[in-house]
Amino acid sequence: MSDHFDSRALRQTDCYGQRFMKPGTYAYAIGHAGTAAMAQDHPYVVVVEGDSPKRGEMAQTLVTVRAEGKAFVPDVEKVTVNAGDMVMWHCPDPHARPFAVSGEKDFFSSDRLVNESGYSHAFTCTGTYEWADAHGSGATGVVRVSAPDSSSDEGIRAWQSQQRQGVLVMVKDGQAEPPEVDVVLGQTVFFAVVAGPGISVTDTAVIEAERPVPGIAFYRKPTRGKDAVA
Amino acid sequence: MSEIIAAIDEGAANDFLDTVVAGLGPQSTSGSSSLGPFAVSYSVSGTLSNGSVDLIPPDTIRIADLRLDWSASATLSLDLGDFLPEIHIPQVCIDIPCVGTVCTPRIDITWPTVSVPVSFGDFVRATVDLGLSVALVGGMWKVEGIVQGVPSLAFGPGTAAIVAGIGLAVAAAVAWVPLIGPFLAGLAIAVTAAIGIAGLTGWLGPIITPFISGTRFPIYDQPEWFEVLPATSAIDPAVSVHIDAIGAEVQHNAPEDELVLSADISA
Amino acid sequence: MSLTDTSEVFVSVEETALNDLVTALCTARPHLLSYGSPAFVPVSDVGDTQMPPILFPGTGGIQWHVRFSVPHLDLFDEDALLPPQLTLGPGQFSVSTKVQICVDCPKDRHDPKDDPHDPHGDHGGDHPNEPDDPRWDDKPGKAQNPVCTAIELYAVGHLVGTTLDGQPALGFAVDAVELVDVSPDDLESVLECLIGQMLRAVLTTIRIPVSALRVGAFTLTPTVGPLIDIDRVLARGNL
Repeated sequence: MSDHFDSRALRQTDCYGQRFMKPGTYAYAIGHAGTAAMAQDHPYVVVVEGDSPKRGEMAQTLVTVRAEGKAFVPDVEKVTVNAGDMVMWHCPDPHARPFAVSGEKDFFSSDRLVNESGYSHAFTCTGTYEWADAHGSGATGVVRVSAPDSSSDEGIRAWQSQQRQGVLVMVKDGQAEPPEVDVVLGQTVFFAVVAGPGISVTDTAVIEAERPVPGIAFYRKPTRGKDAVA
Repeated sequence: MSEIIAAIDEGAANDFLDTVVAGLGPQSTSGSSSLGPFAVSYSVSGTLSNGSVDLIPPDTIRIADLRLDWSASATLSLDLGDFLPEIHIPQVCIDIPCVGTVCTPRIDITWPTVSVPVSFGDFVRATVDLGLSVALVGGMWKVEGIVQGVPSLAFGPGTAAIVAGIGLAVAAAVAWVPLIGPFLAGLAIAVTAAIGIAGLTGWLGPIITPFISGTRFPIYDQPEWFEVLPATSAIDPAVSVHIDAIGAEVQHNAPEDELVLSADISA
Repeated sequence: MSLTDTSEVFVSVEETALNDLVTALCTARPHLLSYGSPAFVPVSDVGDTQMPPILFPGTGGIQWHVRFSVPHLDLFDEDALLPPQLTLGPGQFSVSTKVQICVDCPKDRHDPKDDPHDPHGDHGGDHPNEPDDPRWDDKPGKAQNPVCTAIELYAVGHLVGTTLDGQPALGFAVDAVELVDVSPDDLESVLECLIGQMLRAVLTTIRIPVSALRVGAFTLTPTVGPLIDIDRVLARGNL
């Protein structure tokens, strides 16, 4: 068993955070992972007020997403924040299908993390996880998740304490820092994208699974002549 | 005085019932019930093998150590929340240099209800008394030994291992559940304790007892018109006699106890 | 003493049951008791077994017919009275039956009016005792003038182990034959010799499978018997 994580497909143990630096109204949609970017309607908004953000005074607003039938709905349709604040989306429903947040503006998308955004994942299975940018920026990294010492009360207490300590990975221009981290089961890693072309933080096992299988190709119209497909 | 008497002694009765019991073939049943705190759907099959026969006049065949080899396939419906503590991934706050502090929400972990397939088997022994029944049914004379009463099943020492095995099987089957790793060992213990040996035998007993109780062991089964010779040609048709009466009893003819069948016939 | 004694399986059959078995066999397959040449038995069937005529110069073959009634067996000890010439010893059975012997005795055809004993103008072809039997009418190939006699017959014998279709079976062997009411003595002797041979031959065809002696109960591989006890046949053996 392993814990396949993907910032493009948010689950119960994932959060997507986006910092809004400029005042304005930012419409967005919440949809199924993989298709949210195709949404024509953006029914929800983040309203950003105020002037330029003050250094180190970032506030945070949590938007809780719930699954309603085939749709995903935020607990508040309109969020108002100050410039420089972060809005974080999270769905606590363990049975909800993976979702994505997709804004009208290019910088605002969980599918492609651009500047001043982040993705967190709490690791619930032990193992060594290699991750990469599914969009091909070259960003990669490793997360090693170890089992806690659950054989004693002290071990359990130490584990619970460890879970409260998040681990930060900064991603900038296709480079992760630190590139490799060690965590314990249940611990959260926050991938902060400082700047980038629009990346994902994706388990390489997921990327492998998405590769076309040799021999299975989309239909291609046959051509005549020497290049014709038999 | 009957016209025809056929008798076997106790040793032959033992051999005879070896064949009879083997001929019964496997029996099976399926259903759903509760095993300890679990809802369980199951299919159980069992095969009998003969024990040692004691002929007891006037009409009892006792089989000591009649053995039932059984195997069960069951699917346990298991709400892990019944066994595991409520846990959550705590809120985590991270300082991002030059930006500020980001906090993730607390994430409550809901333990799922899982279906766990388990297979296990063992054998039980029982001592049964067969009563003799003689009947003419649909033109067939039947003498059967019918198990009297509900036998007490003696479960073997393997039962404890089965309970432990179920606990381990459950633990192995739920290893995929997020965050369960540290709880697996405890889960196996909890499941084992919840079922218990008494729980397993209490669940299994009513399921497999019918494999024995009420079982009819065929001793004699012949048509009312008994074929002495089969037809071999147009001028040699089958030859039959009519069996007018059949009797069955256990007689003590010193020094032996014997199973005696008697018959009256007419041409 | 136990029924099985030192064996595993015991089977006994009272003489009434043995007679039922023999009767069932002879009733279902009467050809086992009836033999005759073509004038009497045009074809072998379930009722009769066809045999060749007796060849004798100038006769074209003597047509004949022998038919036994269903034999009745009496197992030692003696319940059915036997002629004084026969004694039933331990282990023996007696058998009583009636044998009917017919020969066709053709005579030249003649005007029925010339025969004062044939007022209906018949050709004398009907059997005097069985006028409706089609075998004995005057059609070609049928006995024209059967002459028959019936003789009471007694015999004593012993059981023999034999097989039937590969399975153990009970057979009957004749030790001595006695006809009653036949004289003079030398004729009786001749007939006893002749009919005794026939009876022996007939009895070899009457075999009762051991499985029938136990009417399908258990199984039995005989190690003792089948032998005649008092008024019964018994066998012991293993499963």
